[in-house]
Amino acid sequence: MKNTPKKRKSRLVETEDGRLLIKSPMAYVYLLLPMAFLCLFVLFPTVMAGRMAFFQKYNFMKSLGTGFGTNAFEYVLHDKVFWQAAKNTGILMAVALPATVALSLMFALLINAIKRLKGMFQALFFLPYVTSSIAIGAAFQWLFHSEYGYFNWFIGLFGAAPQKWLTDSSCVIWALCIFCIWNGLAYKIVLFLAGLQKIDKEVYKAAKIDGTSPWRTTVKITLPLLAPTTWMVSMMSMIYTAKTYNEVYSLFTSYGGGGSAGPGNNAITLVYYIYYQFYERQKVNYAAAAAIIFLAVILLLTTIQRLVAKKFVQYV
Amino acid sequence: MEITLKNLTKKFDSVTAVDHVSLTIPDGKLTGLLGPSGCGKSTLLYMLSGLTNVTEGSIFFGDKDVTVEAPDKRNIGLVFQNYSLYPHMTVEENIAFPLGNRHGKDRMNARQKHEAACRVAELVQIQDLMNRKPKQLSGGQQQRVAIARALVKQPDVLLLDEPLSNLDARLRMEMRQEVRRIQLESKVTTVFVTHDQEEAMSITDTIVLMKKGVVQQQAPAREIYMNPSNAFVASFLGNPPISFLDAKVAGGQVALDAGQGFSVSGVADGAYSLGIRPEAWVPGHAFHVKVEHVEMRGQDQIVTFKLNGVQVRATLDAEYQANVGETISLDLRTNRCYFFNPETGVRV
Repeated sequence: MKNTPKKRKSRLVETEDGRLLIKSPMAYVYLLLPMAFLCLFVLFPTVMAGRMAFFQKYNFMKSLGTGFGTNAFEYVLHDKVFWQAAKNTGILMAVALPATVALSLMFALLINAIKRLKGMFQALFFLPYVTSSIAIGAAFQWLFHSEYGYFNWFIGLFGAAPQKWLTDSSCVIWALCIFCIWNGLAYKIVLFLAGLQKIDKEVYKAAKIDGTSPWRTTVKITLPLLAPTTWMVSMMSMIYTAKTYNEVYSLFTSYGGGGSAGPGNNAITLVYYIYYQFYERQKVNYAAAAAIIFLAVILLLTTIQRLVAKKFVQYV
Repeated sequence: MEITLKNLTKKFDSVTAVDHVSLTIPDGKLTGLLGPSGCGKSTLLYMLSGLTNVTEGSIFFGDKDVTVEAPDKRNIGLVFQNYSLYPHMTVEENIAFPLGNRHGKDRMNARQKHEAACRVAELVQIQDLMNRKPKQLSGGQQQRVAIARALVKQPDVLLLDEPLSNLDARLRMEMRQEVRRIQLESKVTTVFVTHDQEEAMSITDTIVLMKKGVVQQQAPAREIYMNPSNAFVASFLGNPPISFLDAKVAGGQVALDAGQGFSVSGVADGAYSLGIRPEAWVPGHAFHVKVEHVEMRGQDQIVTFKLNGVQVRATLDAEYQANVGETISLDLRTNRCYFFNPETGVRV
């Protein structure tokens, strides 16, 4: 028998920054299962959707396509409803996203500043997160009701005329914005509060000794030290806002009827457009083409984020 | 600025952290608040700063009662134990930050702030580090920045909370000299908190020694060491610590073990707790003791033996030959022996 020394399976490796890592072939075994799930439920559908998008006609039940070409993309890119969806998603990103981040930051700062009843307010602001979007949507449908809703009562206090929030085609996107702003608050407030917890309290004592005003303390100390959290929350919300679908569904489907997003699809978003093409119009290849375009946009956004983050965000 | 405390008391629920403290902290001097952990020294410091409010009593800065004054109205500089520098600002921004809080006619423009920051940076010798972030500095350098930030607004009082405890032993020696130099150059009334007797004795003008919220003695280092007012003060100061043994005085004679003793004057007959400093012992003839332990320290050695059934430590010259198990002969310098009331611990 050959008496060769047994080959060592795992070994300790020192990284450049002095940490020790265990390198072992077993790692691949452990990774296998998650990788298999990832391939089955993410990679495979993505590839299939890509394939679907290039057929002129596609039978989803039989996974059979005919007529290879780019006409699904052409259709989508010339579809007014798609551009309506793109525009609405853009409005959400430009209005609802900054508003919800700013408001949640403000609420987190306020909650952080109080001493009594802090726990109560934290719980209160977190409640929406554990409530079903559909239930919240039903509640907002009433709030937005053109005759009995509180929104119209509220703007009436300032002398504004009542609006048909959910049925007037020029209003629906703003109703959606308001709903998205509110719906996004809870989780972000919790993230901001966690970020605020991480800031060393002694720093505030130092500022207090020097007679720093609350405003200057917030602007010069809290916000810079919270920047990594703010950045993380903004990036997360950006992707989340781009994917807006739940909010549209819960707010409009029971009104618009027939699965369209509000009157004349005026509150449609990109993801809702994919759903709409797939389920309402049974145009599987159009839905797939829209999904591929959406994926490209998201990838582009993520790349820009990473480049910007490298340059501007310092983790102190 | 002279600081006067009158009956200053701080209670946390049922715990009295500082108990009716009355003392005067001299103007322009370096005062050390010394004591074991939990003695209330930090609480006292934070009451001076205004970050902790006062339960009872009053604080005067000069003639001004500042007991209920807000921290920023007291014109103090405070250096925290962990420095509490603003991590996202450069050294210069850190130092100049307090100046940005000035309003009205005191308002400073960028150039004035820069000049003021440079002036104190030079005092604490960090002028070459102005563009660094705190994370890029060593502990000692961060300490200097913290002191500079506290001094930049030219405070009446500089407060330091355990300023050297986060530094390693060598750096601590260096920084305590620096704290002294900076204090002497800036002439600011300085109070610093420490639990390290050596630190307090080496650089302060006066030491306030506390125990359980009560001031035990306030005196310059030499005085408090040579002339302790009670057994706690005597035991807290000195390394190796003082040894205590029961002693009876009769007719001016102190009787110790096996008929050995010495004579004293001015001490009434009775039972006492006798404190003997280790350096009171010198090679001689009067006492014959059996060596139990020898600890060589380089410049001297700590020799342990039993007297009256109690372990007693003596520091003897390193050249003196003392071996474990041998009997050696020593003399006692009685000026380093202190008699305390065995019940109250008060010096007789």
